Amino acid sequence: MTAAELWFDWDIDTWPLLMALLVGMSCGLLGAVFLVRHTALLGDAVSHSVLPGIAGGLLLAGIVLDRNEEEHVFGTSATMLFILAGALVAGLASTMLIEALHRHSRIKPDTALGAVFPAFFAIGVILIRLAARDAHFDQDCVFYGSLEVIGEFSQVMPTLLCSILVILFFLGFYKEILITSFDRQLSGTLGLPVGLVNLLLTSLLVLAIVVAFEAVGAILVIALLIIPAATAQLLSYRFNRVLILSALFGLSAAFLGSWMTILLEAVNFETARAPTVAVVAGLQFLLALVFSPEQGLLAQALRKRALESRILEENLLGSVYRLGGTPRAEAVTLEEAAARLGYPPEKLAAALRRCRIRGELTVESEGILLTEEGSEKVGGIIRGHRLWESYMIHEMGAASDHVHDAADHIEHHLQPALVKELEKLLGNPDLDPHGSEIP
Amino acid sequence: MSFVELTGEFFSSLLGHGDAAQATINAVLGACLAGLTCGVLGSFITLRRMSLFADMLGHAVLPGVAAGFIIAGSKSTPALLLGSLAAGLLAALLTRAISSHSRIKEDASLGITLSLFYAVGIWLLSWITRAGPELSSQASGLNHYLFGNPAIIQVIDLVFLASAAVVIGAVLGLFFKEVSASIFDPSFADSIGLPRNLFDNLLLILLTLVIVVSLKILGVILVAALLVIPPATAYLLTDKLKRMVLLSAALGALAGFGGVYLDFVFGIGVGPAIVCLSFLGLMGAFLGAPHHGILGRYLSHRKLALKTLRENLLTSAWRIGERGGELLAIPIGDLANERGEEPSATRLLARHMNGSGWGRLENDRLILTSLGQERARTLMRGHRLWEIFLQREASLAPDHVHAGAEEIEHFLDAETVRELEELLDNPETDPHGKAIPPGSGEGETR
Amino acid sequence: MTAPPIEIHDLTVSYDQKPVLWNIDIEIPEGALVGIIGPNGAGKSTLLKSVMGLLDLSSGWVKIYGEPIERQRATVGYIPQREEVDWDFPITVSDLVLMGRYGHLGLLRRPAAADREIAAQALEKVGMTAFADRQISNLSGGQQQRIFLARALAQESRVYLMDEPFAGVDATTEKTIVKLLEQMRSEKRTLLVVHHDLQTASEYFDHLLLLNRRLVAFGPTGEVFTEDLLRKTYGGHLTVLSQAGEAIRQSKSGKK
Repeated sequence: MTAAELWFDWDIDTWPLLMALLVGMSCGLLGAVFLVRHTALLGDAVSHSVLPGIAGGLLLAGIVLDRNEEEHVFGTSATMLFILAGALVAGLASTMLIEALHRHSRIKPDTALGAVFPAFFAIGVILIRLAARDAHFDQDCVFYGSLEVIGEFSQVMPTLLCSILVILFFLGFYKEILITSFDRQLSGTLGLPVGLVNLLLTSLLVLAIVVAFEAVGAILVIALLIIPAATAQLLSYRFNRVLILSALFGLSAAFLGSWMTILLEAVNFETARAPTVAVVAGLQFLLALVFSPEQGLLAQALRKRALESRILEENLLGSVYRLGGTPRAEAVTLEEAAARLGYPPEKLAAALRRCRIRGELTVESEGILLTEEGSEKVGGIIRGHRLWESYMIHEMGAASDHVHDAADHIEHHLQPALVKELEKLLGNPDLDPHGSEIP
Repeated sequence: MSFVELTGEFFSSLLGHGDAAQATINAVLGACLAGLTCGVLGSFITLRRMSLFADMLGHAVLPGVAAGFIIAGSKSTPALLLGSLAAGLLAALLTRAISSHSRIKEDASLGITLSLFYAVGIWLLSWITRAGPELSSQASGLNHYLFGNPAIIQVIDLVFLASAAVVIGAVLGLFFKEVSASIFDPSFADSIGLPRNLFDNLLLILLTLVIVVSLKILGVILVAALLVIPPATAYLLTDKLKRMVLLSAALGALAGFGGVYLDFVFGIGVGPAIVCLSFLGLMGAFLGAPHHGILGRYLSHRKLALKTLRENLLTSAWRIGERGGELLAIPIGDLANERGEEPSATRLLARHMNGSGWGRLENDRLILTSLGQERARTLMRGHRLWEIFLQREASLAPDHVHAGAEEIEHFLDAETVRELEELLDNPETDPHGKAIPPGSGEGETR
Repeated sequence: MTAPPIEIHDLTVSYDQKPVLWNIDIEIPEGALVGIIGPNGAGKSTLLKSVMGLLDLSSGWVKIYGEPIERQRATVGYIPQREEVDWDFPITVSDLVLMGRYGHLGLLRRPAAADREIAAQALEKVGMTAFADRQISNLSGGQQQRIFLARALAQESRVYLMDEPFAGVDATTEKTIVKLLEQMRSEKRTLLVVHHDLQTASEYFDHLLLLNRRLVAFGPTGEVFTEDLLRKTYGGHLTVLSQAGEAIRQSKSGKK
């Protein structure tokens, strides 16, 4: 296996790669907007519904134009115009029909969506069958895309134009896109052209789907519209970063997917390029879902673990304090401390180790002792606990024998500001409702 | 062959023998069974707002089909079914996991799972078709899972379809009231202790099941349509859940039959034909359904406009009568005067009185029947009570109240009028000092 | 005489054929701090939305300084109810406040340094500068309300319509809002505030607008905050309006 086999053969791969990159980027950008607007499935619907437009445009072009010069799926640029017009009509018609169905009848929006786009798709399939009878239309292209047959710049041209349009639109209308996505009412009250921005967005979506059709097929394009955008949203809380990240993930999926096809081919695992790009986009998403620094499942699990161990530590400290009193007064065994909390002793072993490392507890021969630091920390926690109990009884009218469990829970979450607020409200009390001293 | 000949052949093959006839019979049976089952389950799915879930699952079973094929090394039906069942359930789990453990909302997580699973499926298929001859030769026909093709329906597929139908029918029949309660009013269902999550999961499993067995007929992309469109059509045609289920089952089965027939005659593909047929049905219902269709609503608007127009004539007539004029046969000229219109316009309007039972246009006079007089009295009474109400309770100036009362008089029902009477202590004159006509039945006693 | 900041004439608004506001006539004087009070479902938010031109009117018109709202957009700032926007949207506090400037920019123009400065000052006024880089979902309800206010301040409008700014906020936020309202009034801005708490209504506002589907009363607080008018507003009699509205909806949607 030579190194050349494992890398792009630029003689063959330049245009397919460029095509994939352009589609990935423009779908990434557009998809992010529809995702944050909670209309991600519109891309799904439109990508199915443009099919009859594409097939209809093709049929019409066949009737109007001389078709002999057709060489690849979409034929000449004149044919392309017919297809584009047809797709635009079909795409917009489907969104309007979905809207009309739920506006003017009691059909719910999701049902309207779920009813209209398979119907359009079905009409498209029928038209394609009719077209395929006398034109050579590659049905497989609907599913697999045909990145690998792109062999010259002219085939990339429409996609390039579309990508430039998309970028210009985002540069020019960034603030309008942001505001109409976040707060339609505000944009209305500011007098921004909400309808125009929405129409432009939907038209660009249809355009991007149509030019992507040849490259990645009718339905795989959804993967590029939704998945990079969702990946970006897992990684950032800022609209502009979500847009940029989404475009970048689209690009990287296109690049890595194309490259992976070549690598797999070298080990005799031959696949189509477009689905590989989509699968790579999916892998990126799954990685982000697990490893995103803030929102990832791993980060969430770690945070949960950290909270649980903090609660264990604080409970251990509290237990030692309550059984043994202030610093170094009396030693407590781990078993006693655990029994008071109703835990098995081994559950506290790790917490004890961490508290010792931090110097909040020491272990002597006779048992566990609280240090100065530990006693200060536990004082704050118990203070919060007892203040909360007082608050519940005085302000919420709870019975005094009902407040302990609630305070046990809340003591780990009380912020200093809230403690201060409680002090002010209760006038710095010295005793809690059970008559214990508030540290 | 011509259209008529093909139709003849289709129906004769339904009764015929031999391989070709058997294939047609299998296709018809399969499509009808799938339509029936999808129609029944789809009613619950659409009402539970799970339409898009159905769509997602349809696409998402594809990698299961491909994986089942790769593992079994052939198109063995049970292997493909098991594979797709597994893929469907996995997709459902992933969708839930994404929306419950991240900021991504349910609709987007549906889109993610749909496209991710579908992409993996297509990716595997693209490998299968390029793989060595021993696999790809077996694979021809695997593409049928994309669009569906009942021509490849065998007896075993029918057995699976029928069993799924029985299971779904039995489960939904058994739990009909629990499932419908938990769909209609989730918090009520919770309050009486129904395990709502259990029913949701049950619906999901049944949904995956019906999608998996219907795949060969409709294909991954269109299968959801049969779960959404016939129920939506039925929803527009009836207000009763049981009827909706039956109607949607019938529509589904009909679409199945019609789809196979259309494909037989025109060769346009069974799946697309079934979907197009059901969609035509939906459009028909959308436009023409008696209560919930566009046409039905247009007609009731027309009816309302006509009623308002007639009632306005009645109140004009009443006012003339009130001033001591002729009430039973009012000259059009007087009426036009009262209404501030050209007599020709009033004449045109008065023609609409014919057929109302309230009066008719005769010899250029508006003749009121006793029913018409009664109605006019009720209208005026409502109108004037309303004026008083507005003035007293909403502190409106007397010169502002008329316009509001003008519109409302057509809509006041007996109950509201009674409430007004009670509230206002049965007054006898309105803010303009005009008498309020007594209510019906009270006229004689006063 | 100059035209009043807000003039509402014979306004009727319906949802789904059912009238929710009936024949409202009001003129709001310049510099008034108006509290709109009335029971649930009285149409308070609907009134604000109609003034903003966000709803189709069944009849009547609204004028802002004698002109339709479309020509006076920059004059009027609107603070919707907090629940009405998607707080999970990927946007930071400072970007949200900057949105207030968008109405002053034309199409295709980006916010300039001056706009950022105004937004920063607005944030300062509501005491939220420390949170400028936070994502909006990480804020408490009161903090969310305050950045909404900051966004409105950044709009630098002469008229403000606020929908329940005090709903579900903490004591600090409530104080901040009251202080801001006072300050805005002293700057001769006109404010229309939907308010749900009768206890504080007479204290916070110099004018009150009592609404229950119809306008019950409008005037200086001392004149209209009377037991009689409040009884009319909150008493059950005006529910007949709702009943009649329902009858209209049912007839018009062909259910009868």
